[in-house]
Amino acid sequence: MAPEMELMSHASTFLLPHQHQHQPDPPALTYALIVLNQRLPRFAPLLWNRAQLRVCADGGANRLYDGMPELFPDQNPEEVRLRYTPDVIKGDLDSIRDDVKDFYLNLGVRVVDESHDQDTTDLHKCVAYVSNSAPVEDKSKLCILVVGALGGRFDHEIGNINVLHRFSNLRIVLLSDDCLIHLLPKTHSHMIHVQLPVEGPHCGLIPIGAPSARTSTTGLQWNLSDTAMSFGGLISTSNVVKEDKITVSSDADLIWTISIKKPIQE
Amino acid sequence: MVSRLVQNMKVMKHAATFLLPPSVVSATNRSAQTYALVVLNQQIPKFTPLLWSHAKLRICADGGANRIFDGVPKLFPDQNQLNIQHRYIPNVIKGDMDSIRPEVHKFYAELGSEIIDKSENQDTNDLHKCISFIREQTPAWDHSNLCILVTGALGGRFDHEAANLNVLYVFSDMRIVFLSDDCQIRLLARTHQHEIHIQSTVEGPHCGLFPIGGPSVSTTTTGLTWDLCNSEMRFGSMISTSNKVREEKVTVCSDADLLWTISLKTPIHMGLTC
Repeated sequence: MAPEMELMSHASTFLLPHQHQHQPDPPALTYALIVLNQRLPRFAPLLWNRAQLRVCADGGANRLYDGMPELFPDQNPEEVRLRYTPDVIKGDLDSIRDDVKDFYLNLGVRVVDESHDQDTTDLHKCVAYVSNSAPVEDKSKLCILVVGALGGRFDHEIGNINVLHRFSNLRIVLLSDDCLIHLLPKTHSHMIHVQLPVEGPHCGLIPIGAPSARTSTTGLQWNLSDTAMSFGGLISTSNVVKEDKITVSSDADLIWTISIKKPIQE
Repeated sequence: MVSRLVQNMKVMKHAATFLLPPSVVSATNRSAQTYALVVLNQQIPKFTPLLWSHAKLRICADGGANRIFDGVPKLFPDQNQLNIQHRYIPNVIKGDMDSIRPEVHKFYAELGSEIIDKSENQDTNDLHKCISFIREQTPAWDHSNLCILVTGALGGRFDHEAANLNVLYVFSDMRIVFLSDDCQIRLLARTHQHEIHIQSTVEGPHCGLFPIGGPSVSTTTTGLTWDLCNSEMRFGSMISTSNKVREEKVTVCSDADLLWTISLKTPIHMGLTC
């Protein structure tokens, strides 16, 4: 492994309840949130509060409209919806309900019809939009959080994972109730600062798209040491974080996944 | 170069006839496939009783037994729940038994399920162990006509899902199909040319082809809305998602192992009395 590879740090501090936020290492990131068309995870409000830009991809607007009031059952649904209004709704708009679209249009939300573009998925369009529009000059300080990308139709899930590979220079995290995943691009060596109150211990490293001839790790129960990984051979699943700093170095792009602890308190 | 490969490669045919009611399948002259069913520990698809009716061997992997015990009666809400539980007894329950509930374990053990409680090899997951078991324990079967149906392989933790997908690659010479309420997944091994006979009453139109193990230099298809023609596919670039089946027969020929997925048209009519 080239020792000169630049180090990239990762920390899921966006999952920490607000009062536990300290000056994080790495330096503060600017977050954006993209909501896709699956049931919202229970910690969606936490991510919403971190984000400076919030985008719904098509039917994700339905999920926001229906799902946020469900997460605050003691509150007036209309008030909850007004608090959780996206900046933009984007995509081919074949899933968003008319009543939902009208509600957000009346609030001044930009609704952008991109049904003319059939070459890219809704997530791809939203990531491109966020990358161009987010209030941050240095893209390495931008982190795009995505809910609703995992589960559901398998080709959608795989298409969403491919967006991580296509935008490998951007920090994009896919989150579900059970786990999160993000890319560890081969261009860097990686340090993952595990947020033990909210994530772990189950984790994995998966070479999606191309095998790895050599991957090395520290901080895991079953560390890799110049180990080859491939589909059909060994992939690292059901691993366990043993330390709060995990290092990963590889010749291939890897998907890092870690379980999310339940429940996450708001 | 692709055409030379095509001439040398055997054709492997696929058809999701396990999604058709048993009466329909036997009425038509389809080459007999032997089915085995493996139930993993996620919510069972609504058509699980249909898969059960096709299968000659039904195996629950550990907590998959809870899913059958709890889940099948819910699919027949008008019927006596205990009667249903008695009708859906797995042949085998295998795994390290850390997820199966004690009362479920007892219920099935008393009714004749073979409980294989071995926490032997930590390098292979429950699905891998079940596939190995099926292969080893059915020497009398024609394995070229064996198709293993798996429920519960998707969803939940992503590393579990990836480990299950890897089992498709490790056993790439076997027919294994993952099923959920939304879709099915198979591996199309590079060793063969593939013909997929679409059962259009129950599956489609959304489909995809993914080179998750490694890129494809050349893949050619027929029968899709966006066919590939000696096309390159790789993660980071083009992969075939949100495609659609256009004809009753889809062919795929590739230099790489590909995952094929197709959506299911639900509800699936089971044609069962219970």
